[in-house]
Amino acid sequence: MTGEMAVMTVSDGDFKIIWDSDRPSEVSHARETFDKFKAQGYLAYKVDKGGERGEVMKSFEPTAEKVILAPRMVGG
Amino acid sequence: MRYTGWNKTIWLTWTSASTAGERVYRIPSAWLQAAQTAAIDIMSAQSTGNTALRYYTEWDAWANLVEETAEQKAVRRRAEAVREQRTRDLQAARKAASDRAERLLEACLSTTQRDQLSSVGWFSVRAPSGRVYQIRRGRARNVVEMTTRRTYCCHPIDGVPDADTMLAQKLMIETQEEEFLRLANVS
Repeated sequence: MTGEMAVMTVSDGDFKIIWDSDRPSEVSHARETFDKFKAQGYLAYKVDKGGERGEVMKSFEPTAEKVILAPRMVGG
Repeated sequence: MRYTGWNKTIWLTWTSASTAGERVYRIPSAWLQAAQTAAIDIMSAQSTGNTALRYYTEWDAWANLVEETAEQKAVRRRAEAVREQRTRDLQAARKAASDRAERLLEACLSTTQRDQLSSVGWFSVRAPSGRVYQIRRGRARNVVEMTTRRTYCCHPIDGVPDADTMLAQKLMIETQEEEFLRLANVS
């Protein structure tokens, strides 16, 4: 089963990481990226492939189909 | 005509002269128009201290422009070409980032929301509370609660493309509406 993580950044727009949940090295790389951005204050959401509704993620889930990492929100 | 080595001498003579007429008289005719403009500035600034130094910098830049050699011109044009290429690269990178963000947003919208966005430029999101918000294209003051018509301003701290901002707003309203309302400025 493959998962996809999109990380929103200023310089690149979003970049994506794709992992196969059966490959530990890919899962490890995805988890490291997730943890790195979470430590910077990013908000993590799990969404289904249809994109109907998101769900807040506290920690990385290898079986998640699609993950969105968005920068911390502020009032404008 | 080349003025190499002249400009400082002329400048010093010019600014040390005692009358406005003498100042203008000492300037070569080819420099007259700029010199007259500068002379007015210098006279009003009393040509002393840091103010005079500031005008000297302007004068020097103008004089150097007049004196530009073929070699200097080539260097300047190379530098301009590099700057123009950087600008084009930056614009292309922004366009690519914006396109990626649009694709990501579309992939996270329902069919109805995608239709709304393409036809009217906004899409609606229903929060867990039942309230419905309209998310318009943009970054700031682009979220409207449909019943009260209040406008909310809450966006990612980083300047991500607008489509990324709209997706971040959608996800937060769907999952953490109270936090969104707590952070947002309302009008």
